[in-house]
Amino acid sequence: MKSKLYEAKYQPDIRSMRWSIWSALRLAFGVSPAFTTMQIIINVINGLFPAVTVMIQAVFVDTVLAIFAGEKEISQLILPLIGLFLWLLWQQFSGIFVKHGQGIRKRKMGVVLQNAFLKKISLIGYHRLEMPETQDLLRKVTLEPEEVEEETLNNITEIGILCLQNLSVFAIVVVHVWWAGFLLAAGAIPLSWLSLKAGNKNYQSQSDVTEKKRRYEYISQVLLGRDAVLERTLFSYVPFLNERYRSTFQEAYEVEKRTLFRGMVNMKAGGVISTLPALFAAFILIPGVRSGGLSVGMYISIVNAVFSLVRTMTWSLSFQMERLAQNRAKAKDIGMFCGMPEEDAGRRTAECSISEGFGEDTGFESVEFKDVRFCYPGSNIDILDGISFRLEKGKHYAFVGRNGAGKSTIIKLMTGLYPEYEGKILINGRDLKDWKLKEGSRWFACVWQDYARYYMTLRENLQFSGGHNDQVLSDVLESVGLAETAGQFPDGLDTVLGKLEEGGIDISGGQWQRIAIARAIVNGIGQGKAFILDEPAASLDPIAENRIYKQFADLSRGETALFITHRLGAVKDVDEIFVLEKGKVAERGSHKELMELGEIYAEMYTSQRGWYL
Amino acid sequence: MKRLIKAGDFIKTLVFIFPMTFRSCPVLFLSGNMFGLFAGLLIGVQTSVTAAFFNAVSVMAADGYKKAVLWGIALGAVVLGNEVVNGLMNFFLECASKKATVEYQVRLQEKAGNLTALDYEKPENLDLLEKASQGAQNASRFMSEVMQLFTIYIPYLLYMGFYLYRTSPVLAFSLPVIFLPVVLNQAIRSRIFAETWNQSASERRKRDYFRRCIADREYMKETRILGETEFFAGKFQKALSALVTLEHEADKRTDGWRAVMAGITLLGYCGVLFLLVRSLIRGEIRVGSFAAVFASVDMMYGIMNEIVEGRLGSIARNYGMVKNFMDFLAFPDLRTKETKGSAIAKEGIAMEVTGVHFRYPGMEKESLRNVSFTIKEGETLAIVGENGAGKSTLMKVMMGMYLPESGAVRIYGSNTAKESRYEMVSAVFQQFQRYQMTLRENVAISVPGRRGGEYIDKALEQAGIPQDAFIFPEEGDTMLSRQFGGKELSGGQWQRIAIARGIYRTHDILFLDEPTAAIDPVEETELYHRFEKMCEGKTAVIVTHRMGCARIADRIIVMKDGEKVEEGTHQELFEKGGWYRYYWDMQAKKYLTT
Repeated sequence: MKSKLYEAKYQPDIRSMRWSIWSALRLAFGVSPAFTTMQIIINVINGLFPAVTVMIQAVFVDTVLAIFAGEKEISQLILPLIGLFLWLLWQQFSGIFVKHGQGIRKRKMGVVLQNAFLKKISLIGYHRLEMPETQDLLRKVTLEPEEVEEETLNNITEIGILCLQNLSVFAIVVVHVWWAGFLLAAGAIPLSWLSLKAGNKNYQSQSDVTEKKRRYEYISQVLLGRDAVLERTLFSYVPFLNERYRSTFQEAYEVEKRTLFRGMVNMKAGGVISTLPALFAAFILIPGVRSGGLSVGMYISIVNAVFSLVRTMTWSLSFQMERLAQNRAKAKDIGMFCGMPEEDAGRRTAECSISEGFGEDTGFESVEFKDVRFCYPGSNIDILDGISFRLEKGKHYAFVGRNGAGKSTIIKLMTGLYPEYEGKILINGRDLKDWKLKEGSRWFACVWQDYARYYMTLRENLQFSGGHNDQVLSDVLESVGLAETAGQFPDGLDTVLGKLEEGGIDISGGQWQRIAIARAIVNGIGQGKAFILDEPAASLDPIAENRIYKQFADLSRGETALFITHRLGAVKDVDEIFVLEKGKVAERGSHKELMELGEIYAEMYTSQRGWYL
Repeated sequence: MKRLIKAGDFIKTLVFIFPMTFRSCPVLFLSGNMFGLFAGLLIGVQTSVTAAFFNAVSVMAADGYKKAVLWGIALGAVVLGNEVVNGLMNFFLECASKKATVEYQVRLQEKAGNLTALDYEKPENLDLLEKASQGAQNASRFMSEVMQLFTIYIPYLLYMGFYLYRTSPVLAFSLPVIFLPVVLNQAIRSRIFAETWNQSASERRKRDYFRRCIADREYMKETRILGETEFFAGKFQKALSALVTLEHEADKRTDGWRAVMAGITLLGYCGVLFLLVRSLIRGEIRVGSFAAVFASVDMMYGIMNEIVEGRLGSIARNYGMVKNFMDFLAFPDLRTKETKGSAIAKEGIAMEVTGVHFRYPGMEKESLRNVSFTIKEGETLAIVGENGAGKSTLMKVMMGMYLPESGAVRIYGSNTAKESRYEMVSAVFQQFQRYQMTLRENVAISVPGRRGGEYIDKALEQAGIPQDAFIFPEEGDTMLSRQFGGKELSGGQWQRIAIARGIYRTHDILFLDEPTAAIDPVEETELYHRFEKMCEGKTAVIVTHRMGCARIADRIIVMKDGEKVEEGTHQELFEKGGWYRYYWDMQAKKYLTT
């Protein structure tokens, strides 16, 4: 059963939207125009609630009093009673109607926004996306953005209703005793302004203590986390750090207590301030009753209404204002996310380049770096400092060097993940920036050091949307040594791996790694792609590592392959080795040539070799 | 019966958490709740005073306005008093809650510190800890909500019941009339929620996972290069729309029932109104009381809703978590019982491992099988083998972190199963910690509480950490983490700090576990040289999979599939031509053939 209700017809332009109160309104009208309009009408009516109640109640009380005095019959109560009943009926059911509609609207917004945000994520350049700040932002923003929008709507409707309610009570007072009304207004307006200001101030002072808080929360992490258990046990620092946790908290608490107290005083001052006009009203209306200008029933009703309004004002208004401020801060984050620069849409979405006159789409022929410079955003060190080299089809290469020498960065540039560099990268003789890239690489199949574990079926893990037949897949599984394991899976290729779904099966880290290798093979063999192995075995022992490199070298014989490693023994037999140092190719050549050169490579190799002499 | 047990558990939880809360901040806690009680009564009193005020106003023509003004002033005092009392209550309770939370957290952390390293290997324990930690975070909220039930809401309702009854006995009926639909509504809602929870949770999990496949650091590189964003977006969309449909259906049912309950509420409202009017006409109540009660019905409805939907709901949610916290603190301590003094150290023997078997919980296969050897004082032992051969497990058993299933480990004569000898041991772990503290603190943490200024410097020097102004602008007090505005270090630099930490700790036996993280060849060689220096003339154990590194040891143990397959010096094992030789050749041939 699929509901048509949630098929998105409305597509907001999230980039140009101003993420604030306006975005919430625009989205609301965008996804549920009819309901949103109705909600506004209903809310306006409910805003008149105190006024209507006042009138009905007044008529009621006055009628009863008149009955006492013998001026009226009991039957004359029936009309106000029916009025009251209808009013209550409306109140109850309009409330439910609005709540239900809000639920639907929120889900509609959810579908629209979550899909739009995911699309947006896929358009943000990888180099930006991988930054920790971006990842933090994504976590804050993209999970359920509709919550923020719907809540903002809620805040503004509630505030709107409160304003209307105030106005309606004010109107009633003015109608009956005009001067009292204006006196009331003269007192209430500056006072409510003060109370609002007090509430806002409270919100701002919250952020003072966060730094200290993060510190003691970190200590808590050390004391509870799994990673630290060995050192925690051996070094027995639990009592020591616990004491420190307590004292860091105490420091934060001293500040926080003051903030809390100030906040409380501010808020309650606001509350007291807004109660004063109500009391004031109760007193200044008394002469009106005495002089007979105001009926007793009306007086009582007005005072009732004013007091109940004050109650909601002090509780609800400051709460709603605070939430609104918080939600606006969240909306600002959303705005920041939506405003993130996208990769050139043409590069990512256009079909491949044949129509551009670049000739046949032949697969990988060569890649050439010409004086390429690259520096990570936010850093001022050139991780690649004018690097040049050329790789050709059908050969095996290795990149070696210290950590931080730029080995993995080269791969990310080559595969188009980092588009912002200086210099030139030529693929098949053409500038990488001139190629219209489809998503996904037509030239490279990679096994990454931090390979992904997709919790899906084995088949999907190997090829996702691809359509290879089972024979091809089993051959590949065979070649990476997974055939036996896969043979024991209950549903063969369609067995779900990982524990995301009921019935999924857990496999070991080594098996996941083989799947990652198999995936690269399925993705690359026979399609003219170059293989890249980015230290896939860094966390394995040298024996297992040797095995993997050998296996892969055999599988990719005759194909292009590029190994990245710092274990030199494993890649000795490749055609050409590039030694990276400080962002440049410091040495290049075969193992033999480099050893004869007797510099960096030779030193590294000798240092490793030294263990075995 | 089941309900009875549940109620018992609930009371037990309260009895458990109450004294802990009280002790952590008696003054704050008492004041907060006293003001709460006051606040509850004031809300009720407000209705009485309002009634009196209205009554005075309604007879003003006859009695004069003096009385009305006095009651008016009283009403003002009550309303303002309520604001002030409320503010004070919130302030005190909020402060108390912060203080109490730290107390819970400290208790939790103490308890977690008592768990053995092995406990952390069981996923169910991690789960338990996670849940307990949530409980500790929410316990103070739970406590204050329960307290407010007793200080604010119940006194208020009692007061109102009493007031209504005094005004006119039949009016007391209005309380249950308001209460019933509210409770029913909540019961139905939680039931529908529980029914659909499983399915929607599963769809939500899927949706979040597919988003991760596109957006998460762990996945996005691979997903992009493979060109499969669309594939995951499709799956995401499918899960999202399934989720939305489920929620929609559940909402339809909930809101349908809500409408039914609203009808009942409305009838109740009318009933109360009818009773009121009747009493009024019969002259049983005065106009002022009528108006006051009329106004308070709405408020009572609001408060009932707040109690049932807000408070009770929240108490129930938090109760589960707090119970987890309580259960966790009651978890039996698996720490070895200390029976000091029973040790008889053999002359010149630092460690004896005899017939050790070890199995990880829930595993069928033994990770260590019948391992025996001894380490003499001043001797360096290397443990080598492939990934998964049991090297690291053996090391943890040797230190006494894991206790053998059978067999025994004796450190200077004392059995680790009977008493821990951590004070004799120091270690550099494979997964060493990167503490977000200062450089000095990072080292000194291995001997908590000792003021060892010069020792720290010495340890840093031995570990080869340059006191370079470029790397450590504030020398030892340089903060080492970007999060707290400090310096971020490379993997190799962190590794050295871990070594300094290991050296700084006074020890009789030193364990060195080779790091798994990738470090480059030159750094790696330097590391091994440092290991070599640290071991000179000391009792030490090196765990490694580099045969070349093992050579620096006086004796080598080769592990394979949880068993000790060979033991001897490098020379002996090399000449013997067994596993050691095989591994050696595997690794060496790449370097030795030309």
